[in-house]
Amino acid sequence: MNYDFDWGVLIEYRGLLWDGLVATVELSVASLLLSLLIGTLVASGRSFAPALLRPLFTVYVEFFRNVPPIVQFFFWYFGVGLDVVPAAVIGLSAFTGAYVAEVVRSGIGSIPKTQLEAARSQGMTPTQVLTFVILPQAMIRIIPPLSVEFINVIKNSSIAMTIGLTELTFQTQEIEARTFRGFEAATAVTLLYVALAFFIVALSHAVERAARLDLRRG
Amino acid sequence: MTRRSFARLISLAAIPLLLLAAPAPAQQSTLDSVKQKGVLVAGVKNDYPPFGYIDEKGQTVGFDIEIARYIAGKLGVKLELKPVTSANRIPMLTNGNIDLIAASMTITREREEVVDFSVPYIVIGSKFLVKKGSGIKGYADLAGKTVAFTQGTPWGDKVAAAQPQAKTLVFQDKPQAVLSVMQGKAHAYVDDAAPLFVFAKQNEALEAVGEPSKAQPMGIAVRPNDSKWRDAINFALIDMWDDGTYAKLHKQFFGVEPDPAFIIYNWKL
Repeated sequence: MNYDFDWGVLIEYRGLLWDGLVATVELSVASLLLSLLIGTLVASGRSFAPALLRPLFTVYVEFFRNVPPIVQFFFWYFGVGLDVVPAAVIGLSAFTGAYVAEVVRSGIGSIPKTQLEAARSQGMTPTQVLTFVILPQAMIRIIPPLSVEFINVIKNSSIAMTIGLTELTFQTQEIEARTFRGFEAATAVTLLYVALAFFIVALSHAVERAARLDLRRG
Repeated sequence: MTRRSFARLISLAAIPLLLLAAPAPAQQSTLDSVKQKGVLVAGVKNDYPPFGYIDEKGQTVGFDIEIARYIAGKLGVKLELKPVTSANRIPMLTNGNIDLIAASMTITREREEVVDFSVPYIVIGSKFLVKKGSGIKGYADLAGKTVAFTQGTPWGDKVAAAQPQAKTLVFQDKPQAVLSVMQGKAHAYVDDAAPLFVFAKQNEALEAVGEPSKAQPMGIAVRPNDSKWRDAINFALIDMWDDGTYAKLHKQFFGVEPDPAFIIYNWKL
């Protein structure tokens, strides 16, 4: 390959990379938390809501799971008319929330029915059963698949650049547009995304170690 | 899997990587490789009327496409069109995915450092696309307002220099920038004049006004240090001017005769 590498452009444009990283992290953290909330609510609704309401939650999951995320971003930004940041956060959270809902639902389903029956026989209301017996056990079990969905949040955040959010992938293209050093810019952004994903993995390991008694040594 | 068979599998996978490290063969001129292949791969826009756009039949057509077609005809090869955007056209060229860029590309000094341009084949002005009745005529009216443009174009720096008090919105494609003006998310969309005129024609609520920057020349871009190829393109452009095809195409796509103040070459080279 005859290509003169010029890694200096990354130093020169580190301001752009930093701005992009901050925007990506802010969007990802907000969407992560919001999608976890949405997903838990929707999954709980699918399993425990009155039978007449359950189809609503199913429709939510099927709709937001199957429509491509870029279409969803356009819907919130151009269709509903939200500003860039609200559209990005709501779009990414609604989309990821559908996936998280399925993960949480599988976690809920993995709790033996005997737990539910025992709790109910003790006189707990369905809400109490859900909050104090089912969900605590379910959430611990689904930490690995949840971490996968959260890594997907980081990757899907790059789609927000189509509605004008100047996040990490956007800034990479900006560096490339100004310096024409595509290879160096792509290398930098790859390493940054890998670092973000690695952080999520480390975090999920730490949470799992703290929560699961059988993983603790001694 | 045993440790040894795993090691063998890994070393098999390493062979393609070694091939990448092999030295590149001596550079052949693009002119020769195009003639050998029998195909000219041209990077063109498909969202930028009248330079390159998609017509009702779903075909990519436009002024740049016809110029690429003329060049291919002069070389005696077939034409293959590849859609590009302002952001990815140079990487596509330097990677070898396309042989030339015919995508309404303004000639600038920064770009000359990474590609080589043909002689200018058209001069194009720029405009602001605004809502009718907005009262915006120029940079002075845009203080505190939002200006939209597409990534990969030089407008970011130009707007920042001319009107530091304007906010910017950057989109990937032109239709989104137009939509942002229609919906009031941006007060103006700044870009070359020709496509803005087309957008304004398609949308009664919009109009193209003002003069964001002086008229700029556009050129066909090729990989640097390939004089043979650049000469072939320049000669084709000059022939196109001499035999009247240029004037015909200009009339067809822009509706007017080419500006007499601009001519490719009139010295019968």
